[in-house]
Amino acid sequence: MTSPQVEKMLEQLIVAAEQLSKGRFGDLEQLFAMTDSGQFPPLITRFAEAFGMMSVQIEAREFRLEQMITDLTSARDELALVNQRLQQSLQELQQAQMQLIQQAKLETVGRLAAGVAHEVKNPLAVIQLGVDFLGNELKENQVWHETVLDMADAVQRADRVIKGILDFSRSEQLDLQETDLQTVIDDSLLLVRHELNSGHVAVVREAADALPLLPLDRNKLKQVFINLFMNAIHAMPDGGTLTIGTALHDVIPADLTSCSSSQARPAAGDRAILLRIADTGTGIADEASTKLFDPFFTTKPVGVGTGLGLSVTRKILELHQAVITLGNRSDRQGAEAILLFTL
Amino acid sequence: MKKRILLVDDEAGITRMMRRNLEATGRFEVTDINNPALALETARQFRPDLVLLDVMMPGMDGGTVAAALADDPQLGRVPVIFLTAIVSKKEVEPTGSMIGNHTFLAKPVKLEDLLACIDEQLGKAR
Repeated sequence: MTSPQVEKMLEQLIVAAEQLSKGRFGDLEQLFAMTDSGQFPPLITRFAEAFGMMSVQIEAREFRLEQMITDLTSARDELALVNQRLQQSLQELQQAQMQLIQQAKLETVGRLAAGVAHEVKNPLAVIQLGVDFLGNELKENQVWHETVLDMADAVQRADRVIKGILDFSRSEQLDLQETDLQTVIDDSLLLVRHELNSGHVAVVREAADALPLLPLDRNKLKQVFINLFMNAIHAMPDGGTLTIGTALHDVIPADLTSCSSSQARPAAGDRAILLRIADTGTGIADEASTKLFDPFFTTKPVGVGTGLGLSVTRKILELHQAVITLGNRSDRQGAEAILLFTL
Repeated sequence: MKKRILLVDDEAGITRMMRRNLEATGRFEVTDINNPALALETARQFRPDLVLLDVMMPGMDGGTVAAALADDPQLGRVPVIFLTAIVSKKEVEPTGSMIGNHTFLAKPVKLEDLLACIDEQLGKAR
């Protein structure tokens, strides 16, 4: 049998133990007041004191644990930050490496083009001279003669392609000469003729009559047009129409708002030749539109695009005091490039 | 009297085709050599009126052959037309371009352009 005081003490202890089990460190003062009163048997008093001490120690340990968790959490956050910076550095490093690889690729392509040109021109010379010889021998027979002439044409075409590849791979200073823009467009179309045919892309020309000559670097500009034509062809995987239009144009401020460059020319009020290259392809996605001129940005599969085409294009156009605006057509039928050449 | 032309090119196909074409005109006597190291010796024996000389050849390039010809007292005034498959910065015109003091023709060259260039050089050398 227990006395009512002992029962009360045990009651207090049970409540404290229940609180403790829930992680609550309750008010132990009443318990300690009871043990200090000397009204309880020594064994009960010692038990209550031991319980009280245990509770205090658990609380202290819990506090230290919480502190450690806080420390660990902040260390973890710091680590995450460092990790993030590392990731960023790695990304930058990878990007720099990609740029180096692309540059090396371009150099290799240039060297390869020069080497291939040399190796191909010699056999072409043999065929050309052979064709000339047969052409003279077979003059009497019209069909044979025509056949030989077709072969001669083919040799010249192959030679033009090789010259085109060489022009493309060369990096020279700008060599400006008074040039008819239309003839540069014609030459460039010739170089992508195979891609146009195999991609089932029809070409529509909307050429203005008798445009004034412009100081242009033919080879560099060919590179620009080939880039733009190839982009258009790649945007029309199921075929389509490539429209190339030229016109005289008075530059208005709206022409320059979304163009590629902030250079001085052309300015509003300038007279310019406007060249429009429009496709009926997939158009330009919103997320891509701000990055089009970034070096090494490409939406094409690896091996198809280097991501250099448009950045080189812009650079060449700037050297010509020309600007380019790329966007989707107002009729939403595809994308278009608008080029303005200051007169 | 037929004009004598010496062809020097390491590609036998080219010298053979050129020879056939030039001989077919009935105006030229042609000798060809595919080893540039033997070009000078062949020229001394053949005494050409004009030399058609490839630029890039293994062992000895066209420039070296031309220099050796120019140094020879008997051959120093013989006109040389270089044939090149290398496209230099300065584009070579179809009927020949002057680079330095030399005439260059770009491969593949058409027969009519080749003949025009040969006639021009022979006319000058007369």
